[in-house]
Amino acid sequence: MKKLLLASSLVTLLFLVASGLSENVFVPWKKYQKEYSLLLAGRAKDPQQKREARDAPIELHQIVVPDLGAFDRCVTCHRGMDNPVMAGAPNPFRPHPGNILKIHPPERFGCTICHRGQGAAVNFPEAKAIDANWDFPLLPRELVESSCGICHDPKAMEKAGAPVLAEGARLFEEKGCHGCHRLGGLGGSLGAALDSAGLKTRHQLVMANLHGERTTYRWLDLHFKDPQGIVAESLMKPDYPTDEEARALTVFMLSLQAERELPDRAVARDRHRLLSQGHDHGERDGRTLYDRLCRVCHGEGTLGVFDKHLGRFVPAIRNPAFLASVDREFLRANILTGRPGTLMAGFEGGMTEADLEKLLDFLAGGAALPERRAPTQRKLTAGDAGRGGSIFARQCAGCHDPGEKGQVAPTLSSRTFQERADDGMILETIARGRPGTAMVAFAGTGGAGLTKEELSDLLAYIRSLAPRRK
Amino acid sequence: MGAWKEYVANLRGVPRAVWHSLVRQGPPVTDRSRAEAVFQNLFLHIHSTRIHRWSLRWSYTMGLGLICAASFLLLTVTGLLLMFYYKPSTVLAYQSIKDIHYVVPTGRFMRNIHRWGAHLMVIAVLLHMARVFYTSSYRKPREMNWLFGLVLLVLTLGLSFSGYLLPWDQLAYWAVTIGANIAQSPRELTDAIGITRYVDIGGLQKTLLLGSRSVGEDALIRFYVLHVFFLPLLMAAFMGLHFWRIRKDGGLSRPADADERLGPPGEDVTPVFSQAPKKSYGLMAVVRGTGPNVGRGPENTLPSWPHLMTAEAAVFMFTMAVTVALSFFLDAPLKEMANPLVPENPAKAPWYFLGLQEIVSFSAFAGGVLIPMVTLLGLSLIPYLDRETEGVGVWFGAAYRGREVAFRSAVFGLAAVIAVEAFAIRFGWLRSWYPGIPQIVITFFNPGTVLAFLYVAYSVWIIRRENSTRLGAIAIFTCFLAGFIVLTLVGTYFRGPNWEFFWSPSRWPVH
Repeated sequence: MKKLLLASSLVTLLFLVASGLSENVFVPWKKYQKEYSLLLAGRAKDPQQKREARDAPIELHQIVVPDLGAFDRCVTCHRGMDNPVMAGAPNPFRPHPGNILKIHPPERFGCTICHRGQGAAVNFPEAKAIDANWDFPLLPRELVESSCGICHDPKAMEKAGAPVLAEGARLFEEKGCHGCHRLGGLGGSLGAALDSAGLKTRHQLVMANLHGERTTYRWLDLHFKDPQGIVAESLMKPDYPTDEEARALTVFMLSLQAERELPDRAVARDRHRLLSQGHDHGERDGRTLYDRLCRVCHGEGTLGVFDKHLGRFVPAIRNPAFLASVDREFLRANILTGRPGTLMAGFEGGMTEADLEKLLDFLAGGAALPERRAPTQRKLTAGDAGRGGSIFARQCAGCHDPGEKGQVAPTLSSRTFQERADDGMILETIARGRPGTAMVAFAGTGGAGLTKEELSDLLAYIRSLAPRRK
Repeated sequence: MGAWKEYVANLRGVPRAVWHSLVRQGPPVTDRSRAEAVFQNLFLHIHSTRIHRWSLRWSYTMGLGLICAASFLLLTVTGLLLMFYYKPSTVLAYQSIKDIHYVVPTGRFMRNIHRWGAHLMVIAVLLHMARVFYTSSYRKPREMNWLFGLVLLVLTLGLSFSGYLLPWDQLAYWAVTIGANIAQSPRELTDAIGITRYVDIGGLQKTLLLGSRSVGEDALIRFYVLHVFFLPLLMAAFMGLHFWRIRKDGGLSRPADADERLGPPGEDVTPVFSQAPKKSYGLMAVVRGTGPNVGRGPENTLPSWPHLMTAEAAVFMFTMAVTVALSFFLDAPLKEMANPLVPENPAKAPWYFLGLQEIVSFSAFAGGVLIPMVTLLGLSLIPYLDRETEGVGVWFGAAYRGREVAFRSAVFGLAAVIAVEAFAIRFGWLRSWYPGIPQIVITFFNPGTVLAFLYVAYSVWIIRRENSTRLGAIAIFTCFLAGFIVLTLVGTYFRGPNWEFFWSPSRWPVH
């Protein structure tokens, strides 16, 4: 017993002393502060300065900015951050590059608002917080620009120190990302809304296929280059961006932090409009809207396109034959509610009313598109859906699968189609086809030569595909 | 001049005089002064002045009870230190833990000790209970002290669980969310019979626990008050009762023939009685029960000072050494700040509840209420159902075959739990075959209840076959222990996201 008592007491004493020393004496930041004192003394101009540098107390420093949630102890080691004398010194003593600290005094903004990382930590690995239990690890230097976008309009930053961020914002619009992703009130609903994409943590992203460092910014970068390589079932079109483009887009994504609560004093004036109206502040014409929202799937929209990624024909929505058979109300309904069962997701809430009208004007291409087309006066004979079904199987099912998915051509069973396309439009389209697309004319001598009766049967069958109201 | 000399002499004698006014007896070298060293001291006088050699045997108690008490002391001291810095508010709690971790001098070490000490205490409490059970020490007159021990077990788990939330990180938040849902599990039963609208025991329990519908500010302050005030106070009170009863029940249990088993004391121990006793033991004659010296010579007792005191100090320091060594090398976990929008997957309760969570994955009511209540009830009844007298104070003590039955029960218990778990993991359970089955069927027929039934049946079979309630008790206790260990291991190491089975955490899909 006495031996156990002695041994345990010695072990306890040993670890008490060891932990006391390792947590209070041999801590990295104290070593850095001593080094800094020596460096500063070496660069001092007069003995007075030298003495002051030598006698600087070794103590913890921190910047506390409560309204930004910053408790940043980075300055405990980065002592020379705001001291021009330290130019050329090794890190962590180097002065902060540029004039950013003049514009954004650290005592008002802290460090982590821009750099991210764990400000509370007092050693570098834990301040960096990569693969640690911390939501926002330190950003690599080339991505720090993203943080400008938290408080500023990215596009306004092109000549103000964040060209990559501005480039990212431009690429986002140029590449048609809005077509699927809503941002600033503009965009489709097929993909995730991105207003707070920059606040995502690594636990909210599928990391299974990301090897190496599991950070959100690496995920974003690799996901832009190969969406399906990172998320196998992703519908995102591979765009094969260059390294620079992927980086610019990553920077832009990281800057999107709409849900972050910021004090008014920190936010630039142009940001408020941006959050509600998009990055162009709502200044866009029909052509621009088409390019941002529609082009990514529909291309120029005049010819039917087979999209290899989506594995189907995408309707030619600017095709004159198409436009001749529809009215504004039909288009409006299709755009707002989409085509359930297909990848055409509705844009309800993804554009303003003015946007929608501008887009419709653009689709009409200057021609007058009636608000409501009068129902076709053509005399319809009541068709036989059974006969129509066998004609459909022979002539149409190759492209228009009668099921929910619509195979490669537009689905005919969707509610939007069934409710909005009138009989005349359907008959017209079957009979005359859509020049420039895979939909050829099925009546007359040029096509399959369907008779009027057969057309009626087909129509009856197509109508029988309508989803039953629940 | 004389007064001056006396003054100088008094001045020089001050340290000595102060010491003597504090410790009135002389150096502990005689029986009398050794006894006085114990009973004249407020803090030591809970000990008897003399202690039986059987109680001092390391292989008998393994110091487990003392380890529990030592851990509690250690946790109280480190807990008090942490209270100086911890701020129980959802906004500040996490940051204050980070501050303790990074800038409070030795704060990281103190928090580590508090965390690992808590785990150690839970383990020690469970092992202590097993020791008391296997040595039949719960028997008359110690039945009530066994019950106090069970209260202490529940308090220990309550203290550990309430402390779990305080760091306000993801681990804390989701573990307590799970715990709160388990508290709500009676709703599974009331839903099934359709009376939740009138009698919502589950909802009431959850509301009592959290103070609101979900884990938030109210839950945090509630857990904090429970953790730093209410539960420690109860714990201290029940520890006092527990210790007091040990004295009143005649010290630690020992076999009737302990003296013969031990033989004469060795040469190295402090002489049993160095002097003829100056005081009679007459007082003991008016005390009811069997005090250590009633009707029997005091030959095999040793003075508590120094023997018991050294042993206690050794166990205390040993506990401390283990805890500080762990705390030096391993940091207490602290995940990202609690975020109700990002659920942990898998969200796991603290490890000692993972056996229950394993059953909860089939039925919350069975795992959260039924099985633990039945277990606690069974444990409380043991001393009142086993009224045999043979085998007290000996490991696996019973009239006969105690060790053998314990071994067989361990084999049966392990085989049963592994078979049932393997079946459920490989083939699924009722819900995977009949998706439409009413939950009430699973509530009463799930791996947990099947296992409990097997264990009870086995123990009843042992009682009838061996014609011994003690052997039946050994059977069921051993089986439940085996079940607890295996289910806890499965819950801890083999369950991943969505509570699916994985051979190791390295095969979890990463989110």
